[in-house]
Amino acid sequence: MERIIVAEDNKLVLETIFHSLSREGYQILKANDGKECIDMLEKTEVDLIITDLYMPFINGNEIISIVRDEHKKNTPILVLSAAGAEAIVLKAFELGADDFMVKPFSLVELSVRVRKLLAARK
Amino acid sequence: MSQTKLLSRKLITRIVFVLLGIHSFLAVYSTDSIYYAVQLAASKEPLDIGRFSRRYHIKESIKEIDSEDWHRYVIGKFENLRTASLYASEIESKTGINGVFPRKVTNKPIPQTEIKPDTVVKAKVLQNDTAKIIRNITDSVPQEKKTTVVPLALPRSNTPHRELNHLILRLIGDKNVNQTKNELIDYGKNHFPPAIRKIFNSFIERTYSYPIVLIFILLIFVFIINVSLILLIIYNANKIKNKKERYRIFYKNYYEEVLSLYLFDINDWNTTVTKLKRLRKPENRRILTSVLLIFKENLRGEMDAKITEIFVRLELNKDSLKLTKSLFYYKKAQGIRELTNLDPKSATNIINNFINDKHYQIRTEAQVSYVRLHPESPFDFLKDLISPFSKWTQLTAFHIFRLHQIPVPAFINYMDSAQPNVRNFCLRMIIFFQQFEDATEIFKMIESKLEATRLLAIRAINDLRLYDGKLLLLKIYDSEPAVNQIEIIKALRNIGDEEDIYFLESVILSGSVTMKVEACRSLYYMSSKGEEWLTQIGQKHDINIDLYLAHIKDPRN
Repeated sequence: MERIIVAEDNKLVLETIFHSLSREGYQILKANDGKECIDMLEKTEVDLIITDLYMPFINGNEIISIVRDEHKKNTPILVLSAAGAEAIVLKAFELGADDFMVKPFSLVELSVRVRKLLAARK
Repeated sequence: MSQTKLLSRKLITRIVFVLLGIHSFLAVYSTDSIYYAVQLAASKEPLDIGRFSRRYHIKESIKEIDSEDWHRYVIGKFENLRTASLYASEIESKTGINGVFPRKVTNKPIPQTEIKPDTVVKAKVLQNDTAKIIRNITDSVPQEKKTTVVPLALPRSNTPHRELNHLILRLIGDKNVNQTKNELIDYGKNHFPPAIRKIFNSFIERTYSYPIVLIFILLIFVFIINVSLILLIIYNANKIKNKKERYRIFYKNYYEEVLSLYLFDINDWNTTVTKLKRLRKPENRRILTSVLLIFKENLRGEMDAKITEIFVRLELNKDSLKLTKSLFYYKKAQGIRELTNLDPKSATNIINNFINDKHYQIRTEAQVSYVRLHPESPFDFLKDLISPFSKWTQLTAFHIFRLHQIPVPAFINYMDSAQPNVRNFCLRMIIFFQQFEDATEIFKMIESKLEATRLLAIRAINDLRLYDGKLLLLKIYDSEPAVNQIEIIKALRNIGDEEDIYFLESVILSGSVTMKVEACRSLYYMSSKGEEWLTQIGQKHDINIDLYLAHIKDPRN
């Protein structure tokens, strides 16, 4: 079973993604902020990271930097953010994000993107 | 106003003085020693104490105390008035001196009532009945003049607060108090109508009839009560606010959880409704609506229909409709927003009523909602717009337009709007989305009375590369303000050709520095021969054209 970590400070979005992806057979780890996400990543191996950009303590871009530069891991990262400005999207990709979705998002679309990212990893 | 200020300043000064007075009074009375003695005699002129003692066979030492030009002669030192009184009776019977009485003695002189300088001073009975007699001790005094000595001296009032009040009055001055009182009454005469003046005057009279100390104590008491009340109100308001916030957070989380389970088909409708507790309470219905709005903000696609279904089935749309009929503008705007997001059908039916609303916020909300509710023709409301289409609405509408990926309409269709800012908005949109549908409508805008509209039309001709508009721009050049002239020069860079060299040459010769720079830039980029043309112009008119060329070529510019 593939393991996905979701870092999102909006509880509603976090729960929605959890329900949606759990139904598809993924094991979902929930992180309420960036720090919690990094702590979990240090203890557990995951197949995909879904992260919001603006979160308390450590933001999405910092998570990408830590995973890529400090942990030296190539785990796929999908960024989910309400900020869809070109500069913000480009910054995330420059740091090492693999995909970007702008809120409001479709759960079906999220599911398709998750599937593709996991398939590419294999 | 200045009189009021003056009065209040005087009052403050008075309060400070009185407080200082109280302080100094207490300081005096706390440090000085007080005791009781028996007064034997008092005289304006000093007595021969030795002779006096011998005459009356007094062996104890007689002490002289001075106060206000009087020489008083006392005997003994007692802790209380009673023992002094007993001793006075004893002395009286033993020596035969009439009018012996006990009195308080301090190291500092005791404040006294006014004494008329006279050879005969009336005795005054104070404190108790011990001093009853006015006595003549002329024979015991060596003076030639006959003097009636009066056992006098304690203050005229004997109640403690009056004594204190009297002392304070002495410190701050009776005259000043009366002056302030009169000033206040005068102020009332000049500023208040008769009915209020009567109340004001009686208030002043009453206030000044009470001892000042009591008034200050009352003021301090009122101040303390006020502060306590305010603190109590703040504390309670905070408590209620926190309680409400906790309640809101609790139900928000709870409803989120219940609705999530329904949205993901874990629970059916009946179970969900049963679990959605306290839904009859208006506050809880508001919380539930806010939860649905958060769902809507974050999710789209297949969830849309389900969120609307929840909103309608729980009849929350009726609450939002009620809000749109509210007298408060923010409630109306809230209702419009909720319906637009959660029940688009109901919103479509009512939105046109608010497009031209008098209130700016409601109008903005309705216009933005219209854009969202009519994806096939998002700006059709512009045709019916009578009220101004503000920049904020334009910006929000544009944001929504891009965020929700609504197909871009042909903005040229709204160029005949009566509102100038609608025309300007359309020109901006035409430039942004590079819409070439109908250039003639843009050319028409060149003849607009508004400078800003003409500027946007020039920019549109430039950005859309509308070569047919070049002659029109050159024709209006002389009559345009500097900003528009610069824009025309800039446009020639893209739509100009060799024929415009003479025009740009004339600008280089006569225009302002900015115009010269822009003319050089347009010439330079117009053709590959641009630099050559510029060099020729420089040589012909003896202008240092290299300076302009360096500026244009500099990537920082």
